[in-house]
Amino acid sequence: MTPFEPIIHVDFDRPDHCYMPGGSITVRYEVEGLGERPLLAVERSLLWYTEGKGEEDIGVHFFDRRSSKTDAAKDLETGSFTAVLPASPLSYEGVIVKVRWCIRVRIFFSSRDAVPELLGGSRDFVSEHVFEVGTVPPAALNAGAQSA
Amino acid sequence: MVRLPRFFGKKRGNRQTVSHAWGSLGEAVFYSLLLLGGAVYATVVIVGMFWPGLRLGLWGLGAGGGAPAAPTVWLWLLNLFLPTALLAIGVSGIYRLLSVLGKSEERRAAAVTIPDILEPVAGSAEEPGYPAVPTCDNFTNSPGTVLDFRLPIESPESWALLGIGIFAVLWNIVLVVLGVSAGVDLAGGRTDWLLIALVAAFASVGVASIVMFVRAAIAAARVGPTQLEISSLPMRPGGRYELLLSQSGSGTFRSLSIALEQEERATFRMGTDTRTERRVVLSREISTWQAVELSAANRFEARCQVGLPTDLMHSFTSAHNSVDWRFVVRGDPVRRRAFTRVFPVIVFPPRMPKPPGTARIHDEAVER
Amino acid sequence: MTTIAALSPTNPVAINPFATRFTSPGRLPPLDASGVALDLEELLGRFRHLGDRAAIRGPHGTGKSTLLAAMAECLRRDGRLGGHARLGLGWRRDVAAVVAGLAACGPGRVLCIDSWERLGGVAAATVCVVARATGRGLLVTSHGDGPLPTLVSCSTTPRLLCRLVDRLPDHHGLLSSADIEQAFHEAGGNLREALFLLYDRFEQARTRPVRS
Repeated sequence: MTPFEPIIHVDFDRPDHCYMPGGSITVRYEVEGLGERPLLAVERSLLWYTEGKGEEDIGVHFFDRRSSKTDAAKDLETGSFTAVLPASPLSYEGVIVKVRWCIRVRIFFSSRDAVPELLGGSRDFVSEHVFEVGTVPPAALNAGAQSA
Repeated sequence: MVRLPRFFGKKRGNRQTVSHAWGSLGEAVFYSLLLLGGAVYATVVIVGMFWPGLRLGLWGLGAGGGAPAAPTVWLWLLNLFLPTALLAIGVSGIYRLLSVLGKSEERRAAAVTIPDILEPVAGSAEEPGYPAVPTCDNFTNSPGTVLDFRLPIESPESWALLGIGIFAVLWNIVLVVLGVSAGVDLAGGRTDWLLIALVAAFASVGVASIVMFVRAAIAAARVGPTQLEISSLPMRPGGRYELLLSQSGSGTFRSLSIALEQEERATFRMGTDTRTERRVVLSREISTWQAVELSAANRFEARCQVGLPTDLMHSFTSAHNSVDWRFVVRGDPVRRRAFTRVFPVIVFPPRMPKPPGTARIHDEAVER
Repeated sequence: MTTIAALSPTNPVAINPFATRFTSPGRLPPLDASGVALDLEELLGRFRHLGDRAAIRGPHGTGKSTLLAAMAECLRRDGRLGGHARLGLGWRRDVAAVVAGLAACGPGRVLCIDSWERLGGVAAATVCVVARATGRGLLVTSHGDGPLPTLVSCSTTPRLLCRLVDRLPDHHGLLSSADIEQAFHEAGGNLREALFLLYDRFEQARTRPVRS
């Protein structure tokens, strides 16, 4: 049986995916390729994470969970949300530490046993979509002394 | 059907994580056992104290009750400390487990609101309204003599001096205890050669540590303290700040300079390895003074200004990563070793038109 | 004032393929020293032949944790995985995780433990005795010798590092084979360190904007 790979489309209200701290961001998402497989829940989060030579840290600014117990299936597969971005942290392209903002949409399936080929046996699938906050230029690789 | 948690869960997409279900179960068992042990121990102690006739035979709790005999005071204290510690660890562990049970990575991170006393986060406290920016409180509680604030110092030499000092004190306390024991033995007519040999070995290290400490203290005193004051805090991109540098000591300095530096720090932990890397990604020289003459009555004082670019990265801190800002004063005295004094500062993000709240999320507009 | 490499996340060159989120154990497949994918079924057969108690040995950065993660996945698929504990969170939590793993692990199942040394000699010996007495299997990673027989001795070669780099996100030709081989030798064969060195090489190789 072919492996099951759902697709999560995410559209940002700004085509350049660049936002300012304190500004608002609106995100629309849509889950495709589910076929007849029901969703148990959807978690939408807006978060920053670090990338580089250290362990990955994350900070969640917005989190919301919708469940099939309280919402119709159609409302789980498609939705949008708006959030006001915080003052920090700004997106940062450092040398050994990078800070990135992203939207994560995590979907949970109601029965793994019913569809054993799902995602290699996993019950959830996560999709991540990066955007930028602020306009901090990348850090210089070699910190030569400069005059102030 | 009840499904048991999986030990290893592969998640598709671009993430892969491990199931914590069994680890959580194990921790729950572990903390429950500690809690149970603490409760039983505490019960036995209390019963032993108030109903001594039961003769529970605990250490330090004599069958007769009342005040403990002098030699058993520490056992009596141990009986109070152990159940308290067991209860505290058990309760806090179970509370922490219940707060994260069965939640996704984002859900757990979103719910972090209580300090985790068992596994504290390595990063500093956050400034309210500025997530992942360290607090400025420790920088604004010391007023300057001329400018508004005096910056705290974090010099490597001071830390080395403190470390050597603590080592010397602790080591020599042990030496004194051993020496007194050996002396008492000798006064009583007993000669414990093993103890005397141990005292001799400890004494050599103890003397060496005192010599090291004295030498380091003299070196530090010759250079003299460095103070840095700043016109306002916190610093912000685009801001302009006045600095006052004062350097005490004696002798001639070939040069004395001050610079602003940005440093990244990343920590990676895997198994038995913990690897922390630091990288200075910006070093901006503010001012340099040549041929500086110092004396006990004439300390060096100079003012300078620093302007921050409008687009620089603010101070950032998380559990394993950080971006730090600091002023670095470097001195090069004649006939003495060069020294470095570090003054950390916090750089806030740029001001926003309206102050940010916490996660101000507009209501959902689900397509229906 | 320069601007070249785009900051935009839509520009793939902005992503360093050697960041820890791509190279941590479990994110890469287990390969042998020559860079060929390990035959996990054959290893599982050998493990069973050893009585379901064995150690994956090797120095730091030779792929022990990666191999253990892959074997744990195979055991899980076969319904034989009793638990997978990754130690290194402090002795107390490590012991708690192993005790829980043993308690939850049914007879005939296998408990996988990464960084076995963290348990300490006495606790590790106790776990061995308990596992043997109760019919539980043990598959661990370890740097040195110990009471458990060796299943695989991990080692590394420059070719292995090249094959791993092939499986990471694209480095867009910014690194050559010579760079990879040099990183291997500079790291003394420690793949983790070599990947960190390659991280730096990648950062140097791509053009970066400079502050004005």
